Amino acid sequence: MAGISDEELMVMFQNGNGHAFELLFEKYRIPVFNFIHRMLGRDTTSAEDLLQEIFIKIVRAKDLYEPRGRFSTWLFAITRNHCLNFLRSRRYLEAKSSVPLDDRDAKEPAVGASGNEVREMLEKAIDGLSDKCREVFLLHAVEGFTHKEVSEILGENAATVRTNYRRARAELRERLGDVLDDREVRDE
Amino acid sequence: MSNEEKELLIESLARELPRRSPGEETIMKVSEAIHGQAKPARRTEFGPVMDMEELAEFLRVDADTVAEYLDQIPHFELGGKLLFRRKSVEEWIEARERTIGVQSLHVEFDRPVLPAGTPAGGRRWAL
Repeated sequence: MAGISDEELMVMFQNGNGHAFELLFEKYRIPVFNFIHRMLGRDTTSAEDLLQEIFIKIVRAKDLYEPRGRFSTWLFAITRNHCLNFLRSRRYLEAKSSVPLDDRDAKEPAVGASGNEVREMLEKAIDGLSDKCREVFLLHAVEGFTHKEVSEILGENAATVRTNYRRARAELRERLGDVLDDREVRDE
Repeated sequence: MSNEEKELLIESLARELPRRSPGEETIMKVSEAIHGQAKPARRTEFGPVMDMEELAEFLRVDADTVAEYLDQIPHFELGGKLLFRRKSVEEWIEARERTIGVQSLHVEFDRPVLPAGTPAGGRRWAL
């Protein structure tokens, strides 16, 4: 089905073509899963559950999609709302502090860290952002949505999105501190 | 390194963050839901005479349940096939609704009295 847009595939699914939605699921399951995973502070089990819940909900409520909007922003808007509901209802952020820290949390930033270590430190720094900053950073910097698309997903004006993004970026810079000063960051 | 350079580096690192894939079980469950939902919508209109599959669809139960209640559901046989008149089935449903009303009353007072002709094994109370 090359050359068919996401929106056309979704309409085909609304008309009973399951294969069309399989293609959408195949295309989006990894970006959506990674967004959820990082929104939930990398809680893999809950991210799996939430991914399943979101896609099954979309499948059952497929008629609610209106082809006027972009499928990707619609999908991420639903995903983001689910993530926030999950974080709120389970008081996830509070509970997280009582979960034993694994080895990723035990490491201190090291000067001369390898590319992989720096990326892991960045992951940790993202975990520590507020929900508002984290979602904006993940959508724009990690998933590649434009500021305009991010504002559609979040239902916020573009100026607020830009402000939160700048704040997120500055906060990450502060959190990563000296690690970024070492210009010999190398990929492994 | 200036703050701007550091932030550009952060953006560049963010684009390279590892991508995880959801587990096979999750993928399978979503796929099942997709194909379950893609089936044609349930019928809402039925003719005056239905066969067993149509009756199951009409009653929103599976064919096994219809088979289980065959001794109670009005039917006739033609050419080796069991058929159901919609009108008779609707009348049976109405009678059953009344019976269930009586049953509920008995359940409420914990003194179930089975109507005459109740098959051995009793009736189902939790419907």
